[in-house]
Amino acid sequence: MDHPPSNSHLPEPVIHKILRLLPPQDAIRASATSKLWRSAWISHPVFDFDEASLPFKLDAFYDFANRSLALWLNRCDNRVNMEKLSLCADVTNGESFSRFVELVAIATSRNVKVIELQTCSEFYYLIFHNSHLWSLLSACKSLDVLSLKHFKFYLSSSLPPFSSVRKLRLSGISIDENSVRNLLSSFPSLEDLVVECCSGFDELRVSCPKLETMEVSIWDDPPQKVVIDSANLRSFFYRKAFRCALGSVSFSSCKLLTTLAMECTEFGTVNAIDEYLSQIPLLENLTLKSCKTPESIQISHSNLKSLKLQNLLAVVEGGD
Amino acid sequence: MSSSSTTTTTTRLLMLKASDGVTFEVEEAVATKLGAINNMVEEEGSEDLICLPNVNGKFLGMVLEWCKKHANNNTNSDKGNDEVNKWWDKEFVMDLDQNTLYHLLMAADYLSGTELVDLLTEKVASMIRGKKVEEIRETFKIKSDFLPGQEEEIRKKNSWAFE
Repeated sequence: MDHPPSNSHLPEPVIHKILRLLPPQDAIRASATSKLWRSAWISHPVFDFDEASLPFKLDAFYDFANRSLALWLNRCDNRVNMEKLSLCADVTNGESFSRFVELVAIATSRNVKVIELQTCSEFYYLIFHNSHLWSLLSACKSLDVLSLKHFKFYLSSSLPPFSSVRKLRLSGISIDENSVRNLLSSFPSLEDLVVECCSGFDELRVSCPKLETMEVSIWDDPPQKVVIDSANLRSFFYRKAFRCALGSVSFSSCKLLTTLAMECTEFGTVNAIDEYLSQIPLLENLTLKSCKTPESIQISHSNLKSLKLQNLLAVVEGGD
Repeated sequence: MSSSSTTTTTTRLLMLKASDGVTFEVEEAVATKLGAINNMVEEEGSEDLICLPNVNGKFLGMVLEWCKKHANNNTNSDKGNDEVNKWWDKEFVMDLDQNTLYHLLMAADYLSGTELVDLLTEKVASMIRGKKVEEIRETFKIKSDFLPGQEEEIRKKNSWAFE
């Protein structure tokens, strides 16, 4: 009864989990070990195509991605949903962008849950409000998480609503203030928003009604003004790339905020932090990391349960 | 009449019986770290004795050891404990031989211990990264069952991954 144990008898969902943790090269090698691993690889509903790390460039990259997806479509019928499409490609002209969007269309036709789009071109590709990309993403009612990196958006009017998306990440997006407003107003169900190192606007105003968590990383100096009107916000993380004076951050209508973290920020006066905290009556957790503070700062807040101070650039006294 | 208001603070003890008859007495809070057990316990009128015909005592013991560690630390949600847990997990998977790893993963999957499956699949992935096909087969005792030519075709089509 002593069968030689073999990992090749693992259930397919377990093999999928393992493949998900591997870079494509390793995953393909693992898939060449046996029929079971091969078939698990083909049915694997998570796709990660990164032109920078694959040996295929330009058209050859899109051909490769199309071939991989065709194999999957062929193996898995309409009832099988795609979980994730992660795409990082050199998008320089309309032609490559349309091939880029073609891949997105395959994912949205298969009820994809997570889409991550990124360009690795020297110049950001400019996307307008009437781009086919938006209508595809908007029509995909399974879409839960959307991540956009290294694009330029010019959105002169609002987009079709992305009513199912709960988490949005914008990284390195070049976008003007009006376009930011048009973009964010198209996400009525948003619960989690990350905006990192985006530029082109002076003020970031967020009023998504369901927003619970928000993370902002500011790159520009002087820093952009951040105004959050989301009454549901629980957690806010504000980070700066360089240590410079605290920009204007206002979350006075976020009365439910319980967690606040600030990183790489300069507080000019003894009371500067306290002034912020007075906006947030229910605050329970406060973290200040790599901030520059005066010799002493005062933190007094009746609700505070946890206070973390890391790498501060001054002597700190205080507490409550 | 079920009076749900009488939930007392005394912890319920469950008996888990493995395929080889070995039994474990564990607190409900520990055993319910496993999704499968949690579902059984939530059923009305569930018994305290749960038979698990697909898991052998040795591996069930290990799975429960992991549950115990993680259930305990849940009670005080201190960030410091997170670190302790990470170290404990690291040690837990450090010296697992292939056979134990395989059976543990099968047991964790069968019992829907999602976090434990995550830990063990990461261990498997770490043993695959950077290895050649033959080395992966060797490591996990996988037998190639491809028809003649099939493997060559895969290699040819994906030659970039085999360089």
